[in-house]
Amino acid sequence: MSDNPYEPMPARVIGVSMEAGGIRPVKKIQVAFINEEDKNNFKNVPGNCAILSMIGQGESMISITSPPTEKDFLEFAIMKVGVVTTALHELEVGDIVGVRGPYGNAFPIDDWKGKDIVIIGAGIGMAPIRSIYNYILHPDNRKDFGKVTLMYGARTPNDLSFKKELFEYEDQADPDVFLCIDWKFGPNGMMDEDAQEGWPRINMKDAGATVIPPGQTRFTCFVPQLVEMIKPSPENTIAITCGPPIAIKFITQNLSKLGFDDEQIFTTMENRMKCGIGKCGRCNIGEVFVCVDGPVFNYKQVKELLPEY
Amino acid sequence: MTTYKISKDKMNELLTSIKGYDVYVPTEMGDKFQFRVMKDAGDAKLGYSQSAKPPKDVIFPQNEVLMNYKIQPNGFDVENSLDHIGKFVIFGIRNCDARALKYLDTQMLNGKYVDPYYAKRRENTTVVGLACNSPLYNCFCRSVGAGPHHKEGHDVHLTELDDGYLVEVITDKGKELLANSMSLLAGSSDADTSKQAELKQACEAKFVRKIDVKGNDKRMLDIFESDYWRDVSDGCIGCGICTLLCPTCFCFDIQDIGSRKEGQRVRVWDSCQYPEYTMHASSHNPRPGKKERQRQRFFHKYVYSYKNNQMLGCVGCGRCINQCPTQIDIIDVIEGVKNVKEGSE
Ligand SMILES: Cc1cc2nc3c(=O)[nH]c(=O)nc-3n(C[C@H](O)[C@H](O)[C@H](O)COP(=O)(O)OP(=O)(O)OC[C@H]3O[C@@H](n4cnc5c(N)ncnc54)[C@H](O)[C@@H]3O)c2cc1C
Ligand code: SF4
Ligand code: SF4
Ligand code: FES
Repeated sequence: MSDNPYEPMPARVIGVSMEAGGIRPVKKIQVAFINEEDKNNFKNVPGNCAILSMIGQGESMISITSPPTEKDFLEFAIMKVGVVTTALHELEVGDIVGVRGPYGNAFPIDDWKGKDIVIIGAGIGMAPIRSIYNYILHPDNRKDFGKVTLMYGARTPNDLSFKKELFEYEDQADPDVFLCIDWKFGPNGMMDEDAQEGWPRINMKDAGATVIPPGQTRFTCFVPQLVEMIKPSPENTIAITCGPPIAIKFITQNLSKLGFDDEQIFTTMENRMKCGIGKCGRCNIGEVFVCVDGPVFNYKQVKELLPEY
Repeated sequence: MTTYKISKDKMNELLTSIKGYDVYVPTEMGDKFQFRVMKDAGDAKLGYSQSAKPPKDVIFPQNEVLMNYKIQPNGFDVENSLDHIGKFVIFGIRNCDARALKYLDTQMLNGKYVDPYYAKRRENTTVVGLACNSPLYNCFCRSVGAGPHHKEGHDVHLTELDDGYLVEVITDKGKELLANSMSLLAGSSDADTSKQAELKQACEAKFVRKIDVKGNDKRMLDIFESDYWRDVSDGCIGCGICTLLCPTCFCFDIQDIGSRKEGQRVRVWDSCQYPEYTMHASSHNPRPGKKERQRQRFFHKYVYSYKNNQMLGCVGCGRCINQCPTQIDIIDVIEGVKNVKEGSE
């Protein structure tokens, strides 16, 4: 490994899978460092990101979605939105991609030992927090934590990332999994059509009053209402949420209504980034550089940031 | 520190005696001044007022190839430009621009990561300062912690006297630079030093404009969301000149040039005044308008930098005022904060 933080380390693509379709498809890419030394030096913790390099195209900051318990590879879930992410989507097994990092702070997972964990993701927002549940659910770590609840929603079933593993978890006794898809928008507005089979709607006006049929894990609703309906207890619990800013806003409001303190709620902030190492200037919120001081913040810290994000 | 004197007619000889460095000197370009690599000692115009562009680009070039690279079957071939960085002298830099280098150090060298390109160029650069005997109208270095004869960040400091230059050798780097030129230097007298003090005082008396920064950061935070920032940025056309010509601005972009098999990674100056600078891939922009973008400029310089590094991000050179096509004036803006009626008190 070079001690130049701008120099990417070469990694080989060892797996590619399509995670979500639509106009902004998501692909999961699994890569392994080519040099043993790079592999040993790269010590990531949940919450960290890495910068992926496509030669001649540029670089993108991407969350490391695999947990540190995976020693032999790193996984990234990439939404195709522009130049670099399109190039990343064209990668095939055997191709070479550059990786630098790991960057950013981390979820303070060690402080959460002995607590119940609620993980709430929306859309591509599951990527940065997937590493947490896969870390906690790993047999070596599972005993250190209490009950684990996963809640996740996307526009359609096809847009749910990581569905293969989530559907497997759904069938197991541990963790508790709840999934949702958005209301369908027909020509006459919302709820024009019936909910998709197997994904019954809930009462959107009063989600909290909805009675969940035993065994039911799939719903048609938005993620904030899923939270309102499932009603996770704040008692000795940490909630982690990530998704589009508007989803985070309502999810957090609903967690507060359920009695969660701001310091019990964690999220990740994203700003446009280039260098990833606190030099290029663009990711700041006030005096905070999100690339090094973040991306993980608890909600108390989020409220202390200047209102410019 | 050792003090010498050199007569004016020997200055060109001194410049020529510097070997093994690219020597940047203030040169004339039309009605402006510009730091350029000296080809002939006669190019150096040490009587200059201020260079249009600060000489920070010696250490932080506007375009800098970081690396050339090629994909190979088992990785990349990287040719790092770090290995080809030469040695530089910035000869005749003003106090404001030299202090700006100290500020850039806080950004590029402090924190969890060191920027290796900046570090290497900085290490390889010797700074020869030139005291200012006559400020421009919009100069206000005295309001932001310095002054026309300030020596912070200088390896050698020159003061123009009537019959020569006072040469103060401040650091070992400065000593090394002048090692071959010692025969050109003579001792200085007490009269020279008192003349220097006199010039300093006379220059200080010529300053017209000033800022009172005390308590301003707190006041600015109080009115972060005020329409004041919209009003003061009203005329801005987003050209970015105020940042591109600012000696302390460091924002950059990293771009790739080339094909998917081989390419060049280049760092280029960027500006917080451009909408794309902060635009997310989702097209959400945390700084959607000129109000937010100009506010970022003022806050970065007068609030955030001070919070993070106890140093203002403005050295008072006045370039952003002199060169803004729509006359946005940072002194008026920062001073005006005191008169904004809103905010919690
Ligand atoms: C901490 C962090 C973690 C992240 N984690 C992930 C992750 O896990 N997965 C993921 O997929 N993404 C993640 N992102 C986002 C990701 O970094 C960006 O989506 C990616 O860098 C976009 O790069 P691009 O080159 O593909 O897009 P760009 O080519 O830069 O384009 C992005 C969008 O902007 C538009 N655009 C570009 N230039 C202009 C212009 N001049 N005018 C108008 N529109 C323009 C494009 O059309 C496109 O819609 C993360 C970001 C951060 C900061
Ligand atoms: S120089 Fe003036 S017009 Fe140009 S971006 Fe700066 S403030 Fe706006
Ligand atoms: S903000 Fe303006 S006056 Fe201050 S250092 Fe930059 S260009 Fe000079
Ligand atoms: S991404 Fe460059 S400073 Fe944060």
